Amino acid sequence: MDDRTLVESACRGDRSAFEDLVKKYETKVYHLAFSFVRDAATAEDLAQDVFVKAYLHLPEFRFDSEFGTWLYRVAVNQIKDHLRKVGRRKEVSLEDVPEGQFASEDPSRIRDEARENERRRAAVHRALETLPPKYAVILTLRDVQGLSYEEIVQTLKISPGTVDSRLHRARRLLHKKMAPVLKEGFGVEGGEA
Amino acid sequence: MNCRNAERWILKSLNRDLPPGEAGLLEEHLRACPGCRTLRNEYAVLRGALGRLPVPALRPGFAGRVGARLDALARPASESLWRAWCLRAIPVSLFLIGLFVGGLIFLPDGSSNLSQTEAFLLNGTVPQSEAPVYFDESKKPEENTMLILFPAAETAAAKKPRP
Repeated sequence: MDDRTLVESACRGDRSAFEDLVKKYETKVYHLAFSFVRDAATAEDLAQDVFVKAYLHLPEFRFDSEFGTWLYRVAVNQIKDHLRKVGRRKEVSLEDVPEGQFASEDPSRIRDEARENERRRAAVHRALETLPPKYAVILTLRDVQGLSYEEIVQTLKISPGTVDSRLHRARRLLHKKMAPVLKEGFGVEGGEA
Repeated sequence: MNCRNAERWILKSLNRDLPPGEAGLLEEHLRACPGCRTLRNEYAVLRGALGRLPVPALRPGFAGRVGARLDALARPASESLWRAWCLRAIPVSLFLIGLFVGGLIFLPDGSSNLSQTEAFLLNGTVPQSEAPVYFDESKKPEENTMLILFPAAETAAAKKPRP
């Protein structure tokens, strides 16, 4: 069954139709949530919240866009609310990031360089968490989720110009937050063109 | 091109490809400016570090857990609906009870306990004018006259000033 049929059935109270929609989109929503919170349990809770909210607001869905896009928008709004509620850390340092946070179960087999890369990546994601939600969201959608400009425009319901300017500010802000860490040496090769 | 513009174009180039003219000017500036070269590399490293994270798999049975949340949500919803109904019903009931009690206390009683004579006095009615009401053709004329005279006498006595 296509999304439209499932949505219409779910609106009439068919819970199995909604369950089919959940099964179809659960991974996408969970991955999106995880890219923001980086914790499996919290990401699952958030994903559940998204589907509950979607179910409650399903009668308001008018098929102006794809169901997936609408659900993505519901998810982004839910995640933004979550980010506002949990508040944000102010300082970022490489010391904040525990070694091997993203390492596999056997760290001895991982080369030092790869481990260092993971620490850097974790530091950048921590810095991302400290940005105001609208900047964290747009950077995550673009650079972590890999959404196109058009997809971001549809998801956030903002103009392409706003996407540009918001991305611009978000990158500058992230760079500013990471400046102390970048000065410590962050694998950045300066000098050569 | 100055360094400020260069940073703007560096950021622009991270989001989408620059037009050939702008790209050429930026490259020219970067060749001459080590500070901007470092800046571009820093932005590129940050962008690269933001790439997809390894995501742990979602636990099986997720849809079932969402269904359970919806079930749990439905129950309190009916309870809260009932509670909301009760909360609205209480003031309405109190208002209606107050209205009823107020009506009992303040509204004039339709069934007066006054005697007919008292009623004549209070309304200032001359009983003779009511005479036809009391006439009963089937009775003797004297009895009809008595019916008129006694209330009239009572009225006259009531009108006399008391010492």
